[in-house]
Amino acid sequence: MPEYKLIYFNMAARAELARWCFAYGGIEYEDKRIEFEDWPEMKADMPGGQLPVLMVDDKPLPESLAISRYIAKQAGLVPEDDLEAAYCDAIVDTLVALHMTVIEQVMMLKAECEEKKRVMMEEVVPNKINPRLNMLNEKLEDRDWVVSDQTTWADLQIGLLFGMLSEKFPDMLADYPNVSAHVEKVRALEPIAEWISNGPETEII
Amino acid sequence: MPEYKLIYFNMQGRAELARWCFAYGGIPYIDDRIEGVNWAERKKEMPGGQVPVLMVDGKPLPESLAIARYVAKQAGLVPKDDLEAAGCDAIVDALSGIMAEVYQKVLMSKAEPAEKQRIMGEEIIPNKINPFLNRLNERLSTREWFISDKTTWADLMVAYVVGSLSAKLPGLLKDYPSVSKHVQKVESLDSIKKWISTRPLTPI
Repeated sequence: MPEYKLIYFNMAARAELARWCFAYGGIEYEDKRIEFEDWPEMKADMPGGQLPVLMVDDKPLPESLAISRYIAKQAGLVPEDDLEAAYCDAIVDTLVALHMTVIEQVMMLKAECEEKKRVMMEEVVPNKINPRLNMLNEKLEDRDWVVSDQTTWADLQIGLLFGMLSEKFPDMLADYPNVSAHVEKVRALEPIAEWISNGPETEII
Repeated sequence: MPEYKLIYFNMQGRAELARWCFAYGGIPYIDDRIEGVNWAERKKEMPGGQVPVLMVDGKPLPESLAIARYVAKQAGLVPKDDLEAAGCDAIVDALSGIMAEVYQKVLMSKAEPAEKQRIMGEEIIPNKINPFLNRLNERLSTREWFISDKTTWADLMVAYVVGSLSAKLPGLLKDYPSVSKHVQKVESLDSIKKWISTRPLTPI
């Protein structure tokens, strides 16, 4: 097995999906978290000047989703069938975009807490988040897993994103019982539950 | 073989990479281009209200890169090795990010032309595009294709995005000769050349 080192800041954001895939697959890796003040020095050494980067036997792989998909494959979380794999890709892409919307339009907003909350509850939730929750709720109606008949990295992303968001916004999943149940199911998977309770505490989603 | 219909606007944008992959693989598909006037109506049929969508035997697959990766696999453009496939994903993701920024802040922006030029010349080109071209140029100085020893969808994406940018910004590639040659090489592949010369003419 290659030696893996995942380099990122001490936050969930763009690296957590890969960390969940590592956990699910029981794959060893170094979870290197760098401080913001150390970043300027390291930036020049990172391809594209960005994080996360996954070192695979000392060769760098950039881009969070390329990294996550690769680790998902090692962990058995990507279907063999091309079309099923594509449905996973699509769900992950959609949810990652949603995550980035929350970060950019709410978390990083230069405004008071009250205003951030207003933007979230009056704009982002009804216009961006709820339509996706509705779609997922329907999809999960008669299925154990969101794509195919096995756990995939798409299921992990659902558990990750909506788990984090519903911790900050407790009623978010109230109207979407299938999603709520799915988030709990994923987060209760042994290796994931273990990572959630024993992994480093991070504030920033 | 499944029946494919690729639904998008009448432009290159986020569907073009999939169209190049279809062309390369000689895979037949319906290239369904929605006119602006019809979009409000057709939007309702699209999962998430967005395009592109690829219909595969009548079942919708959304998200441009999920679509392109799937078609690339059918066309033999994705390496079998997981790490090489990841290398392709990384190049495509980086270029997709650059393209999205250029579309949002310049090509489809309502800013004044002078401001668009400033954003392009003072921000996007020096901060995003040139560093990336530099890496591509270095990589290509010792290789024929970006990843593994054959054409991948990463090569096609480079030719599409970088080719489109340099057509609009002559001189963009003057410091990156290996990239320039690579764009020309990919554009000269029979299937790609044919697509470029016969595809509907659109400004972007």
